[in-house]
Amino acid sequence: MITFKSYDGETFDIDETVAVELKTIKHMMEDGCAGNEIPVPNVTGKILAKVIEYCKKHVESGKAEDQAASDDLKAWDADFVKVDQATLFDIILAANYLDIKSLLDLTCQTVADMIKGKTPEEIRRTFGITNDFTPEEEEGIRRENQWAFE
Amino acid sequence: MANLVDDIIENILLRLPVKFLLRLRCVCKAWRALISDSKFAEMHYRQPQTQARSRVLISSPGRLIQSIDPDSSGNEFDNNGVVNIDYPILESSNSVFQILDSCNGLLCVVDSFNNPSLWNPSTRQFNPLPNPRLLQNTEILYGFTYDYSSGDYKILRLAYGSRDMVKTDIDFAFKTEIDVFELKTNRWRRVRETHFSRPALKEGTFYKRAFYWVAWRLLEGCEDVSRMIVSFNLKEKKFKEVELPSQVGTINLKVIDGYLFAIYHDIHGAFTKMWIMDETAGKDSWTIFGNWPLLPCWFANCLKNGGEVLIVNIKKSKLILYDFKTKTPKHIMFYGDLRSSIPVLYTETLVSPHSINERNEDI
Repeated sequence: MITFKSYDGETFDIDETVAVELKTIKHMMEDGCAGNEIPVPNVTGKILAKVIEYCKKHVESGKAEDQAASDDLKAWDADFVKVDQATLFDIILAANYLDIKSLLDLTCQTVADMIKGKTPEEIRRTFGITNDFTPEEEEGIRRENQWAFE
Repeated sequence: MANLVDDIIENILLRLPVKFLLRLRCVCKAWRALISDSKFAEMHYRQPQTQARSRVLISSPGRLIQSIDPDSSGNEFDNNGVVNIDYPILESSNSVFQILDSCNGLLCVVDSFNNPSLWNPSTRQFNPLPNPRLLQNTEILYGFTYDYSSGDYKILRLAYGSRDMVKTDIDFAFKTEIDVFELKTNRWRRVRETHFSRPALKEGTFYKRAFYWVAWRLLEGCEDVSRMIVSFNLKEKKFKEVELPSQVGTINLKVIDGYLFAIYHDIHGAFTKMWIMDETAGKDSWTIFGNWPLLPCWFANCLKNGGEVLIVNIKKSKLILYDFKTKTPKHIMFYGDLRSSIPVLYTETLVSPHSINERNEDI
């Protein structure tokens, strides 16, 4: 059993088979840097709970090999990402920091599907991006690929 | 709210289709730089989502070009998955426009003067290549390929002077020149110059760094010709001869799912016969692959990496996308006349048809 401690002091007891899904933690354990309690400074308790829930589910389901189980897992994944945008982005950052490839793929794909069809202005709001083009510059770029906006 | 780091933004953008990415160039300077970057374009092309987004291009002389999404469910909002594209060549004197082949999302097109150009229909970028030196009275054959070892697009031009014939002891040989265009250098290179006794009969195809085509040989007494397949290895610069699997009928060469096939379409009997090249024991030979009772048809082209073949059903003027891996046909919703159209299967890509040497910063 391994204990994770989140940024805001919450602790979670994890089975070792689940802990190794977090590649960053796995490397720490292999390097002998991990004691009994592993600090996860970049992730809050709320998000770490979600990440652990994902890893637990995928370790359990990894044993099943039939199509039905695979479909069930996909459906579970689809429900898992039905969270508000702020939480989704926090999960992406955690998955990136903890190096959990499948969770990173799932969440990035979710965001990609979510932004398809949004206007550039809506995209800026979604990602908190400042428009550093002048209106003339932006208009020029739009005109270069006018047909892509139709 | 958290701001996502650059790696994550890149991870997300790599999953999006080309048309949408082009819109996102105006989000901010960093995004424009990323989407215009050639390494990003290469990574984007390799994504499984991009590979799965194959499209069919149908060009008719004098009319608009249509790009069709084979997976379109005919949703009216999506314009039935059809996008109209203007001809990239502007001069009206050059109205003939033949698409030779598609390769990793780029199309090689040939104009009425038999000059090749590179075109990306997904980004609408067009690169009229420098013209190679012209032989007089020549027959020209082109081959288009992507060389994975050098990471470069290449066009092979095989030209032989049909009037420049030399009689050897056993044969009639024609002055033959082979030039190769490499996109990275943006230049044509003379690769081989010789007198060759196996001039080309039909369009060929690249297979494993060699260009294969159906050729003929004038027999003694000039009374008859025999036919065979010839290949030219780009690396070794050597010719090799392979027997045809059958001397009956017209044989087409296609690479499907990574294997070289010889295909015979029997229009009257309405079947298609296929042989697959067997390279074991160091000798190239043909093995029968199958006989399909297909309606009168011909194979347009195939995606180099995939098992999908675009099939034109002549009788009913229909287009079918057949996947050799899964053995499933997909009927493509298409409105128009296929008899004068040349359909081409391609994947979308951000990769530029321009050479780095002469490319602009932005798409």
